[in-house]
Amino acid sequence: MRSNLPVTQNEIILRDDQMIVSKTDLKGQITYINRDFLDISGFTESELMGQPHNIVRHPDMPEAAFADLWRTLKAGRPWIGLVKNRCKNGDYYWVEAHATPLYESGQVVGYMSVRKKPTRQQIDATEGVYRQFRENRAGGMRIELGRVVSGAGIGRKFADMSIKAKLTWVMLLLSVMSVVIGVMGLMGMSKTNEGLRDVYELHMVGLSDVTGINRNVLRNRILTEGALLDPTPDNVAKKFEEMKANIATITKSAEEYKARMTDPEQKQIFERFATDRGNFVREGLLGVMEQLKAGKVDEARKIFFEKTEPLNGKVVEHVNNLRKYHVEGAKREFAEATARYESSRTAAIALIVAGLLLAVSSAVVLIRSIVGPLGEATDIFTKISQGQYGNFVDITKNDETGKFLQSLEVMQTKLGFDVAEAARVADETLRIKIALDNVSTGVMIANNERTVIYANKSVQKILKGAEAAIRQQLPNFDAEKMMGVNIDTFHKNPAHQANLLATFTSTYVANLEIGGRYLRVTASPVINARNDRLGAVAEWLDRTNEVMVEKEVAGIVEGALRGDFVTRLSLEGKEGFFKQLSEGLNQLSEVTQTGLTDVARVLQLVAAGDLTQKIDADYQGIFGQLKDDTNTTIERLREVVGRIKDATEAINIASQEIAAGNQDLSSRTEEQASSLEETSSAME
Amino acid sequence: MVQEQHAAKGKGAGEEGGYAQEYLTYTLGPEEYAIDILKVQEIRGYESPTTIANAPSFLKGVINLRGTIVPIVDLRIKFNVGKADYTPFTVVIILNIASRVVGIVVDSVSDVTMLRQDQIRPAPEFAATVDTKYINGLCTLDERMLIVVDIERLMLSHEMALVDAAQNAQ
Repeated sequence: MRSNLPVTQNEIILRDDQMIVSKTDLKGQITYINRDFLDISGFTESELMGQPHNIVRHPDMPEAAFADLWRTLKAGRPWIGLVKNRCKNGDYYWVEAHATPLYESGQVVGYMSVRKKPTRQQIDATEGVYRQFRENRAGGMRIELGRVVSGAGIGRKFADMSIKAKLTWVMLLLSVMSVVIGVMGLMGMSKTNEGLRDVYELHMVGLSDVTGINRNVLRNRILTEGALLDPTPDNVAKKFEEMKANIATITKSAEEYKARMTDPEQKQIFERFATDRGNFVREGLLGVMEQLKAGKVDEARKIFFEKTEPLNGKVVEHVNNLRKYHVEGAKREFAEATARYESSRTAAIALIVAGLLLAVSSAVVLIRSIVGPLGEATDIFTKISQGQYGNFVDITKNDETGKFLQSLEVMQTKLGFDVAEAARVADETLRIKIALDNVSTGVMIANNERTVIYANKSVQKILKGAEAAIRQQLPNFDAEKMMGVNIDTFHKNPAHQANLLATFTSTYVANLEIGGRYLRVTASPVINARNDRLGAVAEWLDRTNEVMVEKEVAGIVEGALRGDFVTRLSLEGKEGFFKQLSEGLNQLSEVTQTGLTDVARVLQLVAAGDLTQKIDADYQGIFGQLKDDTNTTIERLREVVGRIKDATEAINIASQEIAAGNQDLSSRTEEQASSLEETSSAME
Repeated sequence: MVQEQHAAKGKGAGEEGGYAQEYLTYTLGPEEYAIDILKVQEIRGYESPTTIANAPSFLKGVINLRGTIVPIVDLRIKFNVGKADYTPFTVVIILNIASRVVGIVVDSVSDVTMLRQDQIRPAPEFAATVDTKYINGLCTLDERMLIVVDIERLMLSHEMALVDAAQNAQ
């Protein structure tokens, strides 16, 4: 484990509005950090970017917490936990960290953590537990999904089962229970039906037969006695006929009964009955009747008392036994059915109660696992809609609603970050806008519909300056109300401009002259990173002054070419470079004019023969040289002239001498001439 | 089989009478009584019972009927009709009542006959030998008039004191 040392005991407490955000790639290396991160941790961006995130790990944090964090994130689930971090200088700060996987097109591309200030109670509760982990005194405690838990994970496994699975299991269990109850009921009913059939077929029918037999036995006894008490032949014959019919009936019944017998005990009783009845009929009944028919009443009575009565008793006893057999058999069946009913009733009641308990408890659990999280989600959505993004979300469940809450946590974390990021971007944008508002270049931005959406102060100033001129062509023009105006209205040929603005890809420069104002518009397209054209930006430059200066300078230069250095540029209304340029040019003219005037003046004096004047002003450069050369020339001229004067004087003197000689010579010549003339005349 | 028997035997018995039942009829003094034959176990000749001390006179005593102690009541004495003498032809009707066995002594047993419920009319308040509360109704059959007795109720009544007697005997 990485151990960042040293540490101090100085805690940095986050402000409520601070939100530390960082992103890492899949390897845990930092790819993004926000301002608060830097402010609190004391690291610089370059120290953090590309570094593993554990650069801020505090040695007081247990390894288990980070193991849990990464296990959770790698499972694609969000993690919320308290983390103690270390600042660059060793100080520490506690955060409630909301870490979540970052998805892009359904793929996890990295992880993001948004951290905010935890409450003191949270810190107090966590600090001690983390220490126990660090000192290996955690015992049965574990860190799961950022929480410290203890105990077995069976409850967790059940809680993690999807609601679908839970429902399926409960339904399955309930179905099995219903089937068991149903089968038990059916089996019981089948048994009862069997018992009922036994009671009916065996005992009811049997009892009916026995009762019928008993009745006819009774009747035979009555007939016998009736015959004995009235032994007239008619009566005897009548009774005898009835008796024979009764006997036949009994025999028939007995045979039918015999055919239906199944039980050995029943058969045994019946055998005894059959035997004794045979004797009774033969000896007890027919015997008496035979005697009566024969008119032997006394014999008949004797047989009646000696044979018929005891045999009758025996037969009745057997009949009674058979009756008892059936009654008791039926009772036994009933008792068995009752016992069966009671045992299956107990089991059925137990199963029904268990099923009800299961149904009720699972309904409660299911309703809780649906309604609870939905209520929680509703609260959180409300808070998110109010701009709170650090809400506590129970992310420990992993069923459908649990996953829903997890997604909510991911969304809340991401949204919180996005909003903070958007605010930051908005701040930056605002900064740029304010800067743009204040630049000296006029800036105007139009959207794709060529509607002005932005015009800064400078452009307004520029257009304001040209407003009067523009109004000559566009009477409704108002330099202060440019926003929202469509620039098509400024153009003689809107279609051309529209086409240009919709297609141009590089800077386009246009020079305009409106009412004596010279404007230069430099337009550039606004195209974003996805190559979408968003509009156009125009930089406006009022070149009127520039152009005016250009013209003035041209005039000056032209004058200078003509030797006119008197004209000066007006400094009024000029600023900056143009003023400097004008001043320079004026100075140049001044210097040129002064220099040349000085030279001209001196040369004029020289021309007038005055070589006493010199240029006294200071000049530099070529003017200095001109001054020096002029002065030197005058000096030299003066020297030369002096020398010429001297020579002239000498020449003058010589000349005078020559002249005198010449005079002399002349006079002498004249004398010679006159002599010659006199000679000539004389000769003539 | 039973039905055939009834049809053959029961005079006036028909389908329209609904529920029909067989009755054993006996005479007691001038009147003829009918009792439910299902209550009758057997008819036997009278034999002297073992008397019980302090028993009312109509309770003649008990007999041992194949191992069962059976009290014998002489209805002739109880209702004070006929002559309470005992001949070889004096009969005892052994009744099976509420899982008890009781014997009654009557003048004579007449017949087994089939009666439909609608043949039995309610008994008027008349001076019968037997209290009307033990009479289910009257039935006229040819020239005979039968008094249909609820023999079970009669035998279990306090008047008979049979239950106690039987218990004492046992």
